[in-house]
Amino acid sequence: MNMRIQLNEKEIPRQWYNLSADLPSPLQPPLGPDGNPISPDMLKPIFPNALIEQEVSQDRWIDIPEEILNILLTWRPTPLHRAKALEEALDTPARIYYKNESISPPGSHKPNTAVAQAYYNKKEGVKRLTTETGAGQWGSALSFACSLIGLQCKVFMVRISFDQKPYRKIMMQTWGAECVPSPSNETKAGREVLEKNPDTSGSLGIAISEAVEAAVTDKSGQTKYSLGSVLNHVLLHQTIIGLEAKKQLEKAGEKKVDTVIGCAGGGSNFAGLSFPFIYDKINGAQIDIIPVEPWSCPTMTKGPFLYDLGDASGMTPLLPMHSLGHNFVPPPIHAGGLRYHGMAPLVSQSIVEGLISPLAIHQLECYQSAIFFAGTEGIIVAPETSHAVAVAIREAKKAKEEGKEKVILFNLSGHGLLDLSGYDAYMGGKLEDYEFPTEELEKNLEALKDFPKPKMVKTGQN
Amino acid sequence: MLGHKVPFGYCEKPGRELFCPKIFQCWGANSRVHSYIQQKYSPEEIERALKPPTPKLTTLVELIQKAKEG
Repeated sequence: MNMRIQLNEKEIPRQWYNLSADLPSPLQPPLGPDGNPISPDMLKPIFPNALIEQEVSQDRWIDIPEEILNILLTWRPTPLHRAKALEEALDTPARIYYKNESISPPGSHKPNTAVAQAYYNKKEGVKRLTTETGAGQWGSALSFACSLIGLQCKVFMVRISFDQKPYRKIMMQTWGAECVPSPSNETKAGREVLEKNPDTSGSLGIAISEAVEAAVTDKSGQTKYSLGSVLNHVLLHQTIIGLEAKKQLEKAGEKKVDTVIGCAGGGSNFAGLSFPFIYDKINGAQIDIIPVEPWSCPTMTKGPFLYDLGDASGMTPLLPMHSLGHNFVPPPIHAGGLRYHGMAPLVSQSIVEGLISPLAIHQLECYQSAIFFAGTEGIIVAPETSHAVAVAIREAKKAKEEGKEKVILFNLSGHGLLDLSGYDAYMGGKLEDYEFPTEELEKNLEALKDFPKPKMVKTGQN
Repeated sequence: MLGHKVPFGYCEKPGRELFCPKIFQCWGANSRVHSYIQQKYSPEEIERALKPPTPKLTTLVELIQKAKEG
């Protein structure tokens, strides 16, 4: 039995898979601020033509240019590991596999799209890319890609992360990128925020505003903007993960996979692994496909204290009033990654279509699982990735209870060697889960019962 | 995607005028959050803050237009 299933260089997939071509009901065109569909021309100030074409493409397969493959081959195909030690520790009949994306130079799946985006920009004469980054995973991946392809890179890093997480910043600088804390004085958007609140810790929203402004206002026209998640072309580039995994499972002698799992923030690593399997599911395969998100910041599953997303006029929850003191300071929540407030439309639509089943889990289970995984398989995973590990372990335990020989696959999207503070907090007993008190929950749900419920409409239908 | 501890103040003032639209989902375990928000903000402000997130492409087009207008 092979513990590590490898593909040779010649076996690397030469096309990306585009789920847009196969969704049972197509995505509706995105609307601009004026309510009319966004035209490709509207995106040209920030994206090269090739990426805009991919964003709206309905072609099922899109060729990967040789130049991109040559760079990806630096670390790809990534290995598929059989988690035998984990299986034995769990005493499960399940066979657990994980796709190890942590071996890329920046340590995550992010360079799969960073390299492609840098390539297409360079090809169309762009000299510099701007972007935003939170904790720095995306910023470091784009810096890496720009360095290899020969582009300048400027990263607006959320101030709180810039101050608290220096190592990713150093990685970006090592790859030749310029990394500035956001808000900065370099853009109008940044200056406006600093004027109102000089001590702000920044946000991804401000950093995006700055990065877009820096691209649009470059009078030379040689600067474009790059985004690391959510958009269709980003997810497309990540599908190389799942396409490799399918070939590797076949090499391992697996005829079918039962469960596919990925953590989901903006959706790119989950999509990368799962979309080629969603294709199989659309064509009749029985596969449970599970995007996992944190309980503390849910996007797909939503928390119990919901406002209704479907009707703006009915969104204010009617909740009991309590008296408050002036010292109202709730304890901090530890956002172990995945704190991205926007899910990729293709992932959202896959939920509506019933193709995938999202799950939200608590951070204690995530860290407990990550430590168990490190103790058996040896890899210290990123806090984001721990969500996928936790659900893989849950599924393996379920297989044991049911006495079933399931095949479980998850995406090890990145290592956690630069994000150890969460592990430290967990092992120091400083983390806690955020349970909703049942009585409080019921009371509040009762108060919400007359509010309009969100309408779940499959796109392309009324 | 911050990957570290986030104080409540960050979610209340996420670099924009009003609190983050996810505030009740992230901090829902603490019922005082609801009372606090309701005491501090008007119903109109709460409704405005809780509007569904704008699709990413729409946001990008808005930002492009804003940057062009200077």
